[in-house]
Amino acid sequence: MSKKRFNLPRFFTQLFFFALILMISVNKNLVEMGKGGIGFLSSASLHALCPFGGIVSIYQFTTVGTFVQKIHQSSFVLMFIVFAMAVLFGPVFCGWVCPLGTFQEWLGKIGQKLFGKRFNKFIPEMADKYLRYLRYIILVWVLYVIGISGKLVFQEYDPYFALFNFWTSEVAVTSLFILALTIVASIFVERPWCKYACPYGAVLGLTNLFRVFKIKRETSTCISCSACDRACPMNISVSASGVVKNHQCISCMSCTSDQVCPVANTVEMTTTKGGVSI
Amino acid sequence: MKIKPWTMGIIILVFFFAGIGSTIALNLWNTTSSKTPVKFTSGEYAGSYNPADIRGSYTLGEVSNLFNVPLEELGIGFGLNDVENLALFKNKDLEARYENLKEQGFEVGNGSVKMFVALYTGAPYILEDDTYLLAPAVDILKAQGNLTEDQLKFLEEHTIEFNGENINSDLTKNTGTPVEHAKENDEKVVKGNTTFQEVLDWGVSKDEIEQALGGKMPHPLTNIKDFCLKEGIEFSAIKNALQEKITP
Repeated sequence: MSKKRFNLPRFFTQLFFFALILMISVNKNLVEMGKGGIGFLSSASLHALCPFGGIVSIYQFTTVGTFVQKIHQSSFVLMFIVFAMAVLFGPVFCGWVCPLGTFQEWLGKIGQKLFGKRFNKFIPEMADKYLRYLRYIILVWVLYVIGISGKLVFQEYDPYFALFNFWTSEVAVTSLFILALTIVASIFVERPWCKYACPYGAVLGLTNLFRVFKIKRETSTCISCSACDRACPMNISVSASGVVKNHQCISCMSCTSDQVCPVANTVEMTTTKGGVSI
Repeated sequence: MKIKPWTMGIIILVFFFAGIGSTIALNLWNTTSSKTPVKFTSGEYAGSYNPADIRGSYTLGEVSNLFNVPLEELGIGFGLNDVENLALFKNKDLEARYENLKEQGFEVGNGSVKMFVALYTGAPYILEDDTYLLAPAVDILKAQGNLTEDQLKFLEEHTIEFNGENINSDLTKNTGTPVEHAKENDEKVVKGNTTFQEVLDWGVSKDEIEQALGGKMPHPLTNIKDFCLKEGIEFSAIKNALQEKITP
């Protein structure tokens, strides 16, 4: 009954951005070491290419007119691009672009092999439900400490920065520890950082409430096989809803009729009205 | 209207490439801080770059290009004969290179580059008592023959003999690799990247800061040096006034 198609376009997009960020990070180091670097590639710092840098700079930019230390105008540009996409399609940045999300997903494949159906179901439902709000607390804390200090304090804890800079002296031990924790947790849970701790995911997740193109389930054709629920990396009960408005949806489209849903035109990303939201 | 996975992939790439491409075209895409120092607005040097605005993130190559100081002389002056790619050596890395001197109270860092450039070009500059130069740098300046009596006297008291052993052993192997030093400013020293908020955190009241500034303090997150440059105030004077209040 259940079909499972490999989401080739998503895989290519994720691979492209993961490779791009990795190469830019290596290139920056090569340039700084005076080894020339790769000519056609940017040698910008990861901070300059992080859209979350734009979010944490908003307060300082509006009050002082400057960016938080290490953040540049490009972060603001990326923030607007990602936000425009999120308003239209939800957090596609999380599901299709973010290299840390991709990295966790790839590690999750090992977990799937090791634990089979138990993978991604280790955390008790009740605890999981509340833990998912932890990222909002982290978001408020990050905005507060950066707001009062004007410094990129989050770098000390950021596993994304650690992943692409672990070989440099710029990475704090705390962020390496959090990266290690994320790697281990990814074997048991799909995208643990995204689910429980990512402050940027918290911001983008809110667009699920009002996005233009929504994930919708056509109840009249649905055969209630729950294939969509099983496919969702974020453990959302798609089969219990008409319109997915869950703040954790990452718009990966794994649940759609183009991927796992066995009935055509039943679960889709669309602007069509109708359905009951969850 | 429905979106298929292939369409989604294309839309994402279009958003990024079109978004970044258009901001590049509009000159809004900037991944680094501006490396253009402020210029003197009046006097003999009006229109020239002010050495006081040289930042720690500048490389010697950039300093050389901006202020017309030969790169080789910067290398000799700061004892960087072992550095493979001098043009890529960042000013802020001098401090780490001569960390042992700093421990003895003689700082050779970005301030030294500013002072050297100012004295080399003859640009107006307030000499700071806590800044030192290595002997080869002083020799170059003396050979230029632009120094005044007061400057020569100042340099006599701010010259460090250089024999190659002053170099921090770990960084001797450095071949121009800039080492990022993201450590916090634990020493409570007003530097080029210090904000008013940090000074407040170190126990100096807003009134005391305003007294030092001789006017109203801007938003606490404002960088002190940026504020001074914008207002045309000499940073070193404000720095010293604030430093006295931090460590009386």
